[in-house]
Amino acid sequence: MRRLLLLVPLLGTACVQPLRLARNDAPTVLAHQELQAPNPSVRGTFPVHTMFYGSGTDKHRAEYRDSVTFRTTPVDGTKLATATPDRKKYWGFGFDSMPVNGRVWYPEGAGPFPLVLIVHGNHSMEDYSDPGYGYLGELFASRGYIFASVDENFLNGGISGENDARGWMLLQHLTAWKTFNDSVGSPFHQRVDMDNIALIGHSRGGEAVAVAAAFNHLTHYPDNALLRFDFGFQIKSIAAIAPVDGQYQPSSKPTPVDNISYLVIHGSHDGDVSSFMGLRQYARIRFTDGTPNFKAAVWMYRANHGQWNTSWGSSDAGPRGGRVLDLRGLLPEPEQRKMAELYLSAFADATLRGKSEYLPIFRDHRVMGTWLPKTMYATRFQDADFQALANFDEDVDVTTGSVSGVTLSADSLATWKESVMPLRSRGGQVGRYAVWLGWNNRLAGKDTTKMGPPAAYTVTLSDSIRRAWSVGTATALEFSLAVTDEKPAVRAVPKDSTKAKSDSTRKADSTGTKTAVDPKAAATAKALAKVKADSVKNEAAAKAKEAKAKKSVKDSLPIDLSIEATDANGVQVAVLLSSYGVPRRPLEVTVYRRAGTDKSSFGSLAELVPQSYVIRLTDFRDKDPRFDPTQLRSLRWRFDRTIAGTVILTDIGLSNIAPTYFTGRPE
Amino acid sequence: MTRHHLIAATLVAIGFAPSAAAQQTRPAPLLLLPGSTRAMGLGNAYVAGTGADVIFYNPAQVGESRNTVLSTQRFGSRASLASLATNTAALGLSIGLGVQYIEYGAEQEDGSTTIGALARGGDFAASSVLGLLSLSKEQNGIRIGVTAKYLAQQVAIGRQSTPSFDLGVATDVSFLTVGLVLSDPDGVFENGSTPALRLPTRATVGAMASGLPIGAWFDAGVAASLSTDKRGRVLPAGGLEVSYLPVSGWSFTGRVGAQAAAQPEYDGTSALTLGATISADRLALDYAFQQLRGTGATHRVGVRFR
Repeated sequence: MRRLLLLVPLLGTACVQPLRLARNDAPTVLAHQELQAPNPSVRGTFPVHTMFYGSGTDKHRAEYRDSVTFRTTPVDGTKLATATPDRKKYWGFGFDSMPVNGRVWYPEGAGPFPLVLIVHGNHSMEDYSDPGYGYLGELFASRGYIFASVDENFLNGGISGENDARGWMLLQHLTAWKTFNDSVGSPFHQRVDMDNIALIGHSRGGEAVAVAAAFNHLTHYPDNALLRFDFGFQIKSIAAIAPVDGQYQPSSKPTPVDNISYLVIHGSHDGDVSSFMGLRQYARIRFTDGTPNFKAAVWMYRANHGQWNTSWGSSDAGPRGGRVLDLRGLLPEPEQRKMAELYLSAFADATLRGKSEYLPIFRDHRVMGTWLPKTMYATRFQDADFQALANFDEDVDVTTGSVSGVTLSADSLATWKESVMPLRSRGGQVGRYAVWLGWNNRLAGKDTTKMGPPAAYTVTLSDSIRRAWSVGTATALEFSLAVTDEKPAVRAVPKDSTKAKSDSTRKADSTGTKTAVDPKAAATAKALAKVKADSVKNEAAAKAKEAKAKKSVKDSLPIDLSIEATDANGVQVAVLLSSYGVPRRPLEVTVYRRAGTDKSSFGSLAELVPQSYVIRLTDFRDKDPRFDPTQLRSLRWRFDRTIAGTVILTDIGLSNIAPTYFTGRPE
Repeated sequence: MTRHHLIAATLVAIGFAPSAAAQQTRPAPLLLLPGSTRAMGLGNAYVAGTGADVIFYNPAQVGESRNTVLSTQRFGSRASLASLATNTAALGLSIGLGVQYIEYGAEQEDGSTTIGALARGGDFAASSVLGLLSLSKEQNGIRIGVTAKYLAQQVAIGRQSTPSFDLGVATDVSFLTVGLVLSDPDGVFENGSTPALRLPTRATVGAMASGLPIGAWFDAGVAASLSTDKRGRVLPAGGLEVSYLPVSGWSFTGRVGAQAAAQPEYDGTSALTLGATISADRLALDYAFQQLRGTGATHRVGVRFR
């Protein structure tokens, strides 16, 4: 019996997969701190106060019943969401009277202070989510922001199709704040900077902030025009934490958001929104009005969904989620929240206060190496000046770019195809396209050291583009690149036409002329044939061995390649990709505790998050002063540093990017 | 019909069940034996249980968890039991099917025996088979069900058989499932000419809660029931189970049950039962144990497929 009892934990352990974490390259990648600015995650100098506003009638929470500084009028959201009777019973109100409740952290002082609203996502409606951002509230208020955590718990629980209501509620809160600010005698009279507003949302709230940004400029609700909108707030930026996307689609279209700065962060070990869905909204953000906005997407290894909110905590699948999810690999909660503090605070400073010193953070996370928790990150970035040479969305011709005058060509590639960018979830996709480039520089044959010329992919631009885009010393090449695990087979040796000719001639000779058979020559020929047969056999065995090795061992060596710029005078200069970011191989992530569940649940164990690279043309000139950035003719990705591999390349373009994205200072 | 009406109707039904004249000295043992390995581990307190094998306890519950259950029970080397239960849904009804068969040595020529004597074996070779068909429906949160039964017994004196039925109701009250069942009303189908099989007429009320979390890795379940027969004898029973769930889909459960077996037909059985289950996704292996005083023990194993 005792043995039997011992078997139970043994069997239990056997069903749990071993913890698998990738080797952390942070000690190298994050070894330096280029940014010389105050750490944005450090508490500021303002004394912090708190207050509540709301209906004053809440059944369950004393703070929204007894402690409201401002009584707000409930709003009718029945055109946007439908409440079930049990929900009404619990809350004591229907969606015809949604309360405008918020908990506020604000700085002492006359202001006016920029306004930041944060909204939670879906969770148990009885386990209130809005208090979970107090750590951000304290930080933001101490740094001179009015920070309000919006209560949308009444939209939580078993509900779907309500993300429009979540976004619309944010705008109702802004309407309330306008009243607080405008009302003479209000404690916040003229203390709220309504010209500088940011919205932050988590999970479904992350989609809601995009919905709010879209609704903000509309005059009617897209799905029922009987509901009129009149908002027009000065929302300068929105940030999404592990957002969903597409749960609400205005008029059945993906939510369009233009001309606003956007930040999205997501954790690799998210046990709720298991794919980086925010990349879809990231891809849809367009900059068309000349405002110096930017967008950035940051993927954090070993971060989960709930630890961004102190109320939600580490288990993304509820209180007993530890049975389902593997929580062992998660970062400690304070580290994960430190990353949110860094990015969100810097984002607010950059977009609401114009603190350009934090802009480099969004271009390349490595600039704040010593501030960041020591894990791995991938950053996507695009500034408003970016113009696409090739984003692969426009047609099915692999040789044409996104604008007329751009040609794409390849040399010695094993893979060259354009396809939609995948997400980790089964069938998931970003909704934007990319090019797959695979190469193997090794030549087929016995000599494994024999290499062909490096494969390359070239983007050539015309003189007219160069002129129209004012390509010059202020211009930078921008692109995003993800490394895959795919390794093409060795390159076939090109046929030697000369040898072929002599062989055929010899063949013609041997068939055309009858000669007497020399026994000695016959023996030699036989021996040669045997040697040849043995050689073929050995080669086949070697190939089989190589194939076996390829199957069982993944290539884990770091990848690198050269980026080569050529000017109209034929001057070619190359820089190394790894100098501008980490071309990291895919990081496989197991979210679930049970062996095999990840493989059966997801299309891929790794999320391919392209890393963005921004290379100033002056960097090429610095390497060779003869190179003239104003005469840029072509850009080439030369696969000369790694023998074989496959990368996905997307959003190739040029930008006359502000120097502050590099220096943090206007130049 | 309200919940109160249903309960009242069931209680009235047991009161009006007529009694038989010429019968076995004890009720047919097959109707007293557990119909489920999990239930046996919980002291047979299973009128609010779930799964196909709840057909042996309460027809109202047959639709609560879809599966098929096979089990076998040994009483030393003298008696063997096998059972099968399955359930499905059609036409808005939950449908359950069950069959249980036993071969044993009876103490009496008419097939009567005590449960405790099954392991010792009697002088009269006997076999008995019970077939069940259940229908249940849920309306306004109340589940009602009926099981039609057919019991046949082969003993030295020949073959005896009788139809029977169970009526059950069940509902969920917060985290508890509460059930009430009237089973085997004796004499309803008696023809008066031959000694009929004696049915252990009972009304049972019970409750069960399962999946109650204890920390991150354990769940608990509790079950209790109270039966009364026509003589007014009360049979309390209860059980507790604790499951360890190291990873989703897998669980290891231990259970303990008790049944106050004061009635003579339960002579020789220990009050205590023990049980265990290893569950992996759609498959669960159950085991239950009960000591039989002076005659060894009875072991039951079952397998559940979802």
